[in-house]
Amino acid sequence: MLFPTIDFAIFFVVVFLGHWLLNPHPRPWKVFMIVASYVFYGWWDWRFVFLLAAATVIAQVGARAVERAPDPRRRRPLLAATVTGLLGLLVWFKYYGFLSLNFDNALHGIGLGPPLPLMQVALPIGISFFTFMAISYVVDVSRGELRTASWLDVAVYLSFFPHLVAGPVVRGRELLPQVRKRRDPRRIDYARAGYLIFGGLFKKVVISSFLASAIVDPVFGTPGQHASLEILVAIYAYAVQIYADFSGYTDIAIGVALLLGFRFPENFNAPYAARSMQDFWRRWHMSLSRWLRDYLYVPLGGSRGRKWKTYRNLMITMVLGGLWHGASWTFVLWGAYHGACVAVGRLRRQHRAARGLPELDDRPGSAFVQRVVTFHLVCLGWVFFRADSVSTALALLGRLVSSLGPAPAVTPLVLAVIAGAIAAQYLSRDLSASLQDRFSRLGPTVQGAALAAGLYIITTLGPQGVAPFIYFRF
Amino acid sequence: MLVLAITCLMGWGLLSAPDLLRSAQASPIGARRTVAIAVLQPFARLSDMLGLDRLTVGTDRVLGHDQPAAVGPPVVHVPFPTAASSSDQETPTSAPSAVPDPGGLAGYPYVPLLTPPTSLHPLSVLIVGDSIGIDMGEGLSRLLDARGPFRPRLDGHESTGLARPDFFNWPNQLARDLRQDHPGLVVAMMGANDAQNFLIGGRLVSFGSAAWAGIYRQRVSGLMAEVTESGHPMIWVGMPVMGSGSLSAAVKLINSIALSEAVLHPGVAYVDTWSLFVDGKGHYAAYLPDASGRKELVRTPDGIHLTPAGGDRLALAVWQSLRTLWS
Repeated sequence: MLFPTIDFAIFFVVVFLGHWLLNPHPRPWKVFMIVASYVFYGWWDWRFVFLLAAATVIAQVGARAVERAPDPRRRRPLLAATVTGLLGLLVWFKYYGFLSLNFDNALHGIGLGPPLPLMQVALPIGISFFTFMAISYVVDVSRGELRTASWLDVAVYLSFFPHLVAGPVVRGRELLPQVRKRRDPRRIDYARAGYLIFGGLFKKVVISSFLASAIVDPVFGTPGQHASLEILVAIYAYAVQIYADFSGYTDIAIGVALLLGFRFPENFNAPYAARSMQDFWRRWHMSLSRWLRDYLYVPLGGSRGRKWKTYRNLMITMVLGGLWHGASWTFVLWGAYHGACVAVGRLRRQHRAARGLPELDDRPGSAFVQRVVTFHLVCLGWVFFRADSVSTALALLGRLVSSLGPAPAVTPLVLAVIAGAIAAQYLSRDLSASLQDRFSRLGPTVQGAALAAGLYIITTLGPQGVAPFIYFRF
Repeated sequence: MLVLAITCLMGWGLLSAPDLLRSAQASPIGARRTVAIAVLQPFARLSDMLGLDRLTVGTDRVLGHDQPAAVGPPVVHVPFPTAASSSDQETPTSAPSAVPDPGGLAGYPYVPLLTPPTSLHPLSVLIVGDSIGIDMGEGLSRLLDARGPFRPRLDGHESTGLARPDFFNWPNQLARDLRQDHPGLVVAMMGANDAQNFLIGGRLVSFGSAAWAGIYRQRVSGLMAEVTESGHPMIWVGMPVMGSGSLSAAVKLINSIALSEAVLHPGVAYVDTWSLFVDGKGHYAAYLPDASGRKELVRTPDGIHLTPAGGDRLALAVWQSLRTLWS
């Protein structure tokens, strides 16, 4: 079920009413929320609800076994088995085709026959998100940072529909206490929820869809027909499109959860205002960055060992982070490229520190240059992220410098939308908070009328039908 | 909260009622559509009484969402040379009853020979279609760009076809495209969304029935005539085998109608793509070897669409048919 659809609107009205009616009764509330979330997930393909249930069972059985283990030496194999089971689901559904195809072709290259049957496995929506959440739950239990929760609580935690298909990647220690606690309807910040939901809808339905159809899809689909300027603007446009698409979804998810009395962690913080690639990863898909740091980079040794090991850990984390986005060499390259950028940035900072300088040059004008350079480095990475193959990405980059000519796809409206979206990253958070505050002081009828007008503008400016969110396939 | 939600939904419902009703009417036929129309009709009437629909109509007009009938100068109908006069081949008098067996491209060379394109006189190729048509069209555009003297333009629209002109009107769209591009050749690929019932004057016409086939045949014929009577040759690309058996059967029927109409329309060639995506046993295949024997993924997990490699494979088949037009 997509958020910006009538289906979801009807679903949410029913769930919202059921949620607050059952709120005083924890057990029926949990059962209701699990059923609602499974209906939400099964709307795409009912068979995949068994997968979600399987991930829940593996996580909970594993977490309980790990918790009961008397000493750390016994915990480790139990934890490894549980994480392997969860990763096994992910590898089978997401990477089997990619791995077997590449293995097959590698053996074909040396004259050997096919070792594995080539099968096309359907990719369940959101599998990367809920398996990562399940892993974080088990690992947190093994570290003693979290007590195992009841079956119902874990099932609600993993299936809770606002985060189910595209995050944010919420930790057990962030959500499980909220599942156990009774929510107070008088403390719901409806104004903030409305602001997030309508802002997210606008980003997704209007900005992302417009840029996709106006320039991104045509240019990335047929780069040979487009001039250098169109390719350059399409790359900028994709940077805005993916931000508007993903952060739009996250905003809606956070707003919907807020209406139900839950608080999710932030996932974006003006990423295109970053001054370095490391800074970018502190601002982009923050919940995934934190997950990769805490459950991959740190267990690999983090920055505790020798210098080269730190860089190795960094590269492994970023390459696997790239691969998390999809089973394709373009994502592996994208991850490696970001790893290399972050590593070079780290090296540079260490050199500056050795000379007694601050991490980043703070002289007037430097921050502007750093932001421009970082944005363009990120954009270069997006070329590999968006292109359907490495050869298409290279063809695009080749034409970027070699294909002068008219650029009819670069319209004033496209440029204005890109410029406006990037400029919005520099708006003060106080301004946003002030707008929300003013809105919350209006009467409910005026608020309703304002939201109706906003919804009308979004649906009128948006295209017919809604394209799936980019991050659904991750 | 309740007051806010009701005000918001009622306000939006009234403002958007005409658009919502139009969307509901264009949605797939079934109980869901019936309920949506029943709910939205009172809103649309109230919106009309309050004059709010004028705001929607005006906004749609400004944004170009009202899909006006084809506007601009009329299409010039150029007498089209017959297949016999251009290629000395006889035009069959009856259509084949079914799609030929997989095993080769069924190029029906009734398109008049074109002047070989050169860098001074490149061939303008208009590619139209649904989402599979887009997959093919992107591959064909890449291929034509690489070959040289061509100016391909892709006008693809997802979820479209000839079954629901109330949702998307291809004849109107094509008329606009022809007027704008004056293409030397039109390549069309659509039909995967057309395996659905029709609602004609409130009467349900079931997919696959004789009545359905008759209506669909008229629509395919109309689109082919629209192109050829305007002096443009056309290549109609048939749908490939699908992952689902039932969709494959439906697509086979649609292909057979397109093929039989192509045969009846001088100026239209039909390219059979069915056998391009089957394994040695003639079954649907998602992975197929390329020219060097390395396997590549050619279909997406939905069993319908094509990966870029699949689009390139299909484009190559179209190219092989296309080049016969001047060789």
